[in-house]
Amino acid sequence: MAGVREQDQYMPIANVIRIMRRILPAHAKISDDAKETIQECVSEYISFITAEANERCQREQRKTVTAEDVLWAMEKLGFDNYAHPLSLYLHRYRKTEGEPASARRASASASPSMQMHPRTHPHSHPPNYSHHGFGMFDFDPSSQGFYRDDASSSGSGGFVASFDPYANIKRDPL
Amino acid sequence: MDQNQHGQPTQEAVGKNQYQSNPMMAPTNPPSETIGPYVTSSFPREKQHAPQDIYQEQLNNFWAKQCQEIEETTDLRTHSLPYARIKKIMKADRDVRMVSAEAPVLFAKACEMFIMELTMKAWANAEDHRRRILQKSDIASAISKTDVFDFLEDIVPRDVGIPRSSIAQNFDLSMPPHQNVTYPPYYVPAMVTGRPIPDQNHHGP
Repeated sequence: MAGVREQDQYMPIANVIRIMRRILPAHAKISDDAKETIQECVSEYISFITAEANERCQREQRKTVTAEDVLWAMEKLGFDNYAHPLSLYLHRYRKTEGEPASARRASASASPSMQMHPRTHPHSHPPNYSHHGFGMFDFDPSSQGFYRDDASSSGSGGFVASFDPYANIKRDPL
Repeated sequence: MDQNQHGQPTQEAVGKNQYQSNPMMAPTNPPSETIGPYVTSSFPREKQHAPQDIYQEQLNNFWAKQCQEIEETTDLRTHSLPYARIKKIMKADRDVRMVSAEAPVLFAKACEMFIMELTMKAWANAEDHRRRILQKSDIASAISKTDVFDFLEDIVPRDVGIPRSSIAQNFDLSMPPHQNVTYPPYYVPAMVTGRPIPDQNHHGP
């Protein structure tokens, strides 16, 4: 591709806002500069961890950054709290990854891309779906193409997961 | 020191103190109370207005809930952040050659927790200031209070994120007034003096 586009440097802002609202009380409001700042922080976080993980790869003369490298880098950089839940997540992901491809496709079709938020909510009260309506945001996501990116990314992500050329590596635990 | 304590006349005591203060400076270090109360630098934890136990309880609940949420989730393919975008950000670093398919999956979950942790701490700062709108300065404050977030300090300039509680960090940005200002001279120092022409020349024979 011809260079990295501006919007490709950050996570989609609609996704970021949705995650922020999961931890904030209902009456909380988020300023625009706060939304953009979190966006920048997330990209910086990914780059920061990835650089450390990649250094380990190069020291061990490997070419592929693996999930284990990412976990190792997080603990090395002080994100100890993240390591345990992420280990659980990785183990569960590998269990489900072992399912047949047909079951995966059925599961993918069962959960459309618009259902972005997880089923379990940290708050005890039932989720108020009006909060996730497009009217709550400061922009129309469809017009700005965020959800189109999400849909295409999710779709391509699913296919990439199926046809990833490094599939043999992920099934080879360190 | 005993002599000073037992000095009866006021004048003599003052005289002795003045006379002995110089040679006795090194051996008798005065206690800090005599000079004045020292402002001890507070630890980062003490900067928080919220009670420590409530704040720590929030954090513990947060991480416990993360593990519980992961264990209870039945469909791990329902994710909040697109894998392809994460992969692009990872590969923006030219040194990174290949990325396994599981790395963006793991990052998707990690970034969720990162966003929520940062937002939760920023919101604590907004609540301390009785605000309901999360500002960039709240995020900057959360970053400055958490060591593992040091790598984010470039994203939020310190000028924006200086919290009021950090008195030590506040400094006066105004420039000091100029002390040596050159004023223009009030008189013309140079004077041109010409020789008058003698009148005798015109009356010569």
